Amino acid sequence: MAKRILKDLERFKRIVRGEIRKNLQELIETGSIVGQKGGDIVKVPIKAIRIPQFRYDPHEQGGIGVGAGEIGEPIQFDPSQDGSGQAGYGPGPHFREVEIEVRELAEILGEELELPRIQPKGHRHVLSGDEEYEDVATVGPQALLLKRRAFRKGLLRQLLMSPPLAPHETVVVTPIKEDMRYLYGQPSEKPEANCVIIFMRDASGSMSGEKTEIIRQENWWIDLWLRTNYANVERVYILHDYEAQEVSEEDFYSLSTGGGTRISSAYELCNRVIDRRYSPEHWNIYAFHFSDGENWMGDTENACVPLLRDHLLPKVNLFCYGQVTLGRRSPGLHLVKLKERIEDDRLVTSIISDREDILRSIKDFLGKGR
Amino acid sequence: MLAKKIRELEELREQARRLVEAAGLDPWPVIFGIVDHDQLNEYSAYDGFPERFPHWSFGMSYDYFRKRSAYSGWWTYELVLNTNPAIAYLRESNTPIENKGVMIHVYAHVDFFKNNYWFSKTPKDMIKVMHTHAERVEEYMERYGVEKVESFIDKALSLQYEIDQYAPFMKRTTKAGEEERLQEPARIPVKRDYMDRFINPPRWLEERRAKLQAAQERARLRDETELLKPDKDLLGFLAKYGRLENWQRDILAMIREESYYFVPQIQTKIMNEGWAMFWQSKLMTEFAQPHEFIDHADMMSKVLAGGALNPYALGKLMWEDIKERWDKGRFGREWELCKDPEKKRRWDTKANLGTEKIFEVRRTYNDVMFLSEFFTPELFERLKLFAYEYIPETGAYHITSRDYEDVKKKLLLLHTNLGRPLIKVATGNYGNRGELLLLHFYNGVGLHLDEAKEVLKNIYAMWGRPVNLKTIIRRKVKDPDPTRNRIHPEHPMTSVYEEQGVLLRYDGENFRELALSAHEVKDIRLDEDYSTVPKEWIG
Repeated sequence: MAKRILKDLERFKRIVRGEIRKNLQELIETGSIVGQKGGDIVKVPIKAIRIPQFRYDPHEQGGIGVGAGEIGEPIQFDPSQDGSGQAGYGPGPHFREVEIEVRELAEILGEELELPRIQPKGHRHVLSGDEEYEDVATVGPQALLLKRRAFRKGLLRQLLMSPPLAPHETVVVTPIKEDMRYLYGQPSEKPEANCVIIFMRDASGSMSGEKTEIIRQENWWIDLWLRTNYANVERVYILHDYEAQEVSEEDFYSLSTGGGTRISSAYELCNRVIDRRYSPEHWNIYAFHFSDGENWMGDTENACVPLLRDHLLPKVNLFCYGQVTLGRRSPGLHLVKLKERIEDDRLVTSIISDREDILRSIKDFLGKGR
Repeated sequence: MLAKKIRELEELREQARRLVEAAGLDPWPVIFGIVDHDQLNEYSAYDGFPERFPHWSFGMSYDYFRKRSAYSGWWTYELVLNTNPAIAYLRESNTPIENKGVMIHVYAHVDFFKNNYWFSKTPKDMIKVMHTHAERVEEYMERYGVEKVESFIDKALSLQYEIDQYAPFMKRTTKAGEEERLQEPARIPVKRDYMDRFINPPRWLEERRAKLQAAQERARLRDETELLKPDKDLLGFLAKYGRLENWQRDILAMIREESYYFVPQIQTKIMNEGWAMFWQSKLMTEFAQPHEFIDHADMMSKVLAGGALNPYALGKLMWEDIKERWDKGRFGREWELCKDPEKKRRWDTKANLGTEKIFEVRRTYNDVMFLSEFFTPELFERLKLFAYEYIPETGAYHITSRDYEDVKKKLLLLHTNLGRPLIKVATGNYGNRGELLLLHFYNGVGLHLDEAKEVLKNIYAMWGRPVNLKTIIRRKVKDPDPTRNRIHPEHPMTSVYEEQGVLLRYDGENFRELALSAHEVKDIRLDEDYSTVPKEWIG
């Protein structure tokens, strides 16, 4: 018979999965997951896992804190949200949200959208994999220094070598070279598929605010799906107006410019980046471009189409164009013109007119399994 | 290899046992189990037990502990069961120094379980009880379907603390004796027999006899769900009178039984954890080899992180403080009346009563008593604590006070009645319509209403008739004066609120809220106030 706890875990996971699937649309629209930084775990608020009980209203209850601060000063945390883990009195931890592994979340997304598994391109060339840290050494790189342990060693050494201390005397610990301890690991070689995601966005004034937010949401989920399909993912962010430039992730979502729009500038830069850094032989390349569809007169037909057809599409796994129109019919014709002139499986287009479309649009883009 | 390890551990255990006994602790025997990571996570999810009834919430805890240990290197420090013999777990990968620490810690807990009054009524074979609960629920699931049983447990768990935690300590008069006593009206005692006729005249006695009989007749006809006085044990009430199948009744009874087992641990969290940390820290300084001492200190610093808000740290600090105070004679009338801080700081009568005192406190106190008596202004001054409140006008929590009384008030609120609002069942025949009436005894802090509504739905499913909850909410009557903010920009302004009695009723489909007058909620308004918002912020 299976262990009881594993059955309990199985039922819990089924509830979580069911709830996430049921509320995926809402989770995506409200963007409550997006924005959580890094790591292998995201927090998902799920109502169904909270067993209701008679409790005080946390707002009326107030509480006590420790530390500095003047009376009247606001404090920087929300105690009512501090519910995961040790808070609360009673057996077992108390939950308001579920921590879920990114991999699990991607699986749910995949199931819900019926996304096919990606077939990575042939990768004869492979890369070495992770280092497994399993030991401690006395030499090593700074990044792997175990500070706590080093200070402990230092303290021990100083105590042993100095005369006995009076109680309450403070010791200043200065670790020396012999005290240092480092994580030690053996790199293990294993074949891996590489992936690069090139995000492009029109940064002209008409693209700010809600449109950018929609793009951020959508990119987060796209990124989630791709990074669980590939072991090694790199990202490139390109902003463009009349000209294009590579920026950091943060700038990508926050900058906006006043200039006109020439989409081909971004495609050109994208092409250059691929040629210089991501040879298609070794990399699975995904390009995503978002704009409102407006473009410099003639640029789509004369520059973008040839660039895509002759240079970009042969190199990439997928080139996705999302036209973010936000409610009104977009005057932009970029999408229509692309579709008219290029017939290629690797080019996918999608129209996003509000947050509700994000989910469908993700399916448009990733539903091909490329 | 294994035999050697076990021998080493056994030696350690012997040493630890001798040490705690020499220090005056008096624990039951303890069986230490050696477990790996995954088992430790499993037992943690089951609150220390090897088995619990099947329910997804244990799976959720298990998932949480697993992720905690996998991603943050955090692990359950110690796990010990209040049984005789007690059972505790040691992590396979513990270092010897960690094992020493954990063993002393565990022995101190077991000493507390054995000797603290609030644990005196818990069953000492709870492992067996949990085992039979697990088997019974499994049987029900087989017979009635997993979904059906689990969803009923969901509902039952929403009432798991609606029990009367003091009930095990009450001596109840037997019903039979009561009735017998009521047959004959009480007479006024007389010194001389001939006076009896005048002091207890026959006609008066006859009248009283008739009254008594009428009252008994009424009592006999009275629906037994019409309680004479409100009862806190809602779970027991529903198990007895709810419209339930037998298996459902049984599940309520099981959950109630488990709650009665867990409640003393919640009631003494600060004391119990503090007691264990206090002895661990004290004895380890004698027990640890010099080269192990730093590892020990390191371990302590991890467990005690978080300062006064961590029950381990606050408890340890308070025990140390009590010991020091009674050792130095810092108690009694003279000490209380002394107003000279300098003199107080140097106060030492060499009374040396500390050890005696802490053992006395550990015998009879619980957290609420412990805090109200030993959380002193002197201790408070060392802790940098503040009280905070939520100000709706700014949408944020603000520091409201650094006053001893205010902070203590909030601290006590966190622990009084397990930190939960006080709810009692008044009658199961409200309005003579077989409806349930619950009373929320309001202390100035309102209920989380949305959640309370969910609970009422769950109760309805067990009661089968409409459910009413009498409570008090806060109603805004006047916005803050905007001009005053310019005079006092340093603190936020908040509205004037008024208390409003409400009867919340759920009839199986809809909620209805009925406003009640101040007079109608007089019986549920406690004479307490936990707000620390300064007066000058209001209005």
